[in-house]
Amino acid sequence: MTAVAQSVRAASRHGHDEFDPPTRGIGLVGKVAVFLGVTIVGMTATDPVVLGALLVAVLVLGLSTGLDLGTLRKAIVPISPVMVLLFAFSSLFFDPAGARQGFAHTVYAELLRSDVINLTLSSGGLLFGLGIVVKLLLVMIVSIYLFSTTSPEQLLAGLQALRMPNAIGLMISTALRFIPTMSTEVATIKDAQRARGAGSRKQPRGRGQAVQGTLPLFVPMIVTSMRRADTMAMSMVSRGYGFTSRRTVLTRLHVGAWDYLALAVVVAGLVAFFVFRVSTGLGIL
Amino acid sequence: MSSNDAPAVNDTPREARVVRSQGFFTPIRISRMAVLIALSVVGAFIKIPTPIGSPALDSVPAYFATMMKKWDWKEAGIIAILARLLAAATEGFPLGLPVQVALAFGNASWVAVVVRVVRLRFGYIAAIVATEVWAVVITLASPAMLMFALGVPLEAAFAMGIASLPALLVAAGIAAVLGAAAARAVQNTPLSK
Repeated sequence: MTAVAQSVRAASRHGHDEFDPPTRGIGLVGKVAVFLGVTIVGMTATDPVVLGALLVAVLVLGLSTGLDLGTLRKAIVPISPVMVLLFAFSSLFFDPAGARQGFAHTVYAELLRSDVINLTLSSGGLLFGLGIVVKLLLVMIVSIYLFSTTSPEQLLAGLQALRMPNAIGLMISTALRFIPTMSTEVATIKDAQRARGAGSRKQPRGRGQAVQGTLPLFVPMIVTSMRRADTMAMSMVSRGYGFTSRRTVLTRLHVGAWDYLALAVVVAGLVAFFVFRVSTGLGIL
Repeated sequence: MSSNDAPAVNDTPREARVVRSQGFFTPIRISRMAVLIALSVVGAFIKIPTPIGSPALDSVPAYFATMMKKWDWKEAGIIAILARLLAAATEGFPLGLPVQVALAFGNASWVAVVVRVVRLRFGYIAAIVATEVWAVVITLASPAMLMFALGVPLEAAFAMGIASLPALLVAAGIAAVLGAAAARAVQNTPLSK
C-alpha cells in the first residue's frame, strides 16, 4: 500500500515537474562517445556547412542537457580575439587552387605574392577561415558539454574505471573541495594587505602595480596552503589512510540504455560520415 | 622487562600495525599536491592586465613545486598537468580539450624536468630564464598543435604562435618569479619537508 502511495505521489510530482528531456539520461560513457565523435569529425572536416550543422546539433544536445548559455558566453568571449586572428590568418593563407568545391575558387584580391608566402582574399579562404572558427567553437562547446554536465564524482568514477590510481582521484576530489576555501582565503589576504596599506586601491593603478600586487598575495597564499596540507596529511594518517590497499567508492560508473544509444548513434554517424566523405567528398571544402 | 618478553613484530594484531609503505603517494604528498592544484585553479581567476592580453597565474604553484629542492620532480609534473586541465575546465577549455591536454603534458614535462634541473644546477635566476626559453619553445611547437587539432594551415598556425609569444613570455616570467619567491620563503622552514 505504501509503495503504491509513494509511486502515485511520485507520478503526480513528475506531472508537475517541468519537461525533462531524455538527453539528460546520457551518462559519462555516452558523453565521452559524443565528445570523441564530434572531435574526430571536427578535426577532419573543413566545410563550414557540415561543421555548422554539427555545431547546432551539439548546441541542442548541450542546452537540452542543462548547459546554460551564460557558461558558453563566459568561455567564448575571452577567446574571441584568438578567433578573429585565426579567421584572418586562415583565410589569407588559404590556397583557393587546392579547393575541391567550385565556388571556393573565386579570388577577390591577391594581397601578396612571393616564393615563400602568398596572401589571397578568396571565397574559399573566407569559408575556410569561417570553418576554422566554427571548428574551434565546436571543440570548445563539446568539451564544456562533457565537463559541465558531469559531476566530479562521475568523472572520478570514470577515471577509476580506466584504472587510474586511487591517490590521483583523492587528490582531484580534494582539490575541487578546496577551491572555494582557497578563493575565500585569497580575498582574506587581499583585505589584510589592504588593511596594512599595501595596494589600498581596489583597482591597481597601471600594469606595474597589478604585477607588484601579486607577489604579496601569492607568497602568503602558498605558505598558508603548505600549513593546510600539513594539517590534512596528519588527519589522513590519524584516520588510517593507506592502511589497506582496498578502497570503497561512493559513485560507481553506470552504463545505461541512453549511453548505449548515444554510442550507437555516434558510431553510425562516424561510419556514415567517412563513407560519404570518401564517395562524395562530404565535409571537404 | 627483558628482551625475551617483548612481543615479536609479527605477533602484533593486523589492525595495530604501522601504516604500510605507500610508495610515491604518501599522505603529505597527496595533501600538498591537492592544495597546490586548488591554488592553481584559484590562480586562473587572477589575471594580470598586459598590453597583449591578460595572462593568468595558474602555473605559479607548479613553478613553486619545481623550485623546492627537497621535493620530487614528479610532484611538480602532476601539479602542472592537473592544474592546467582543471584551470582550463573552469575557463571553458579554450582551443578545446585535445589542445589543452597537449599543452598540459608539454608544460609539465618542461617545468618538472628542464626547469627543475636548471634550478638545482644553476639556481633561481637560471630557472626563470629556462622558463622564458619554454615560452619560445611552445611558440615553435604550437603550430603543430593547431595544425593537428584544428587543421589550421602551417603559415597561419605559425603566425598565431608568433602573435601569442609576448603574452606567453610575460605570463611565464611572472609565474616563474612568483614561484621562485614563494620557494625561497618556504625552502628552509619545516613546511618544506
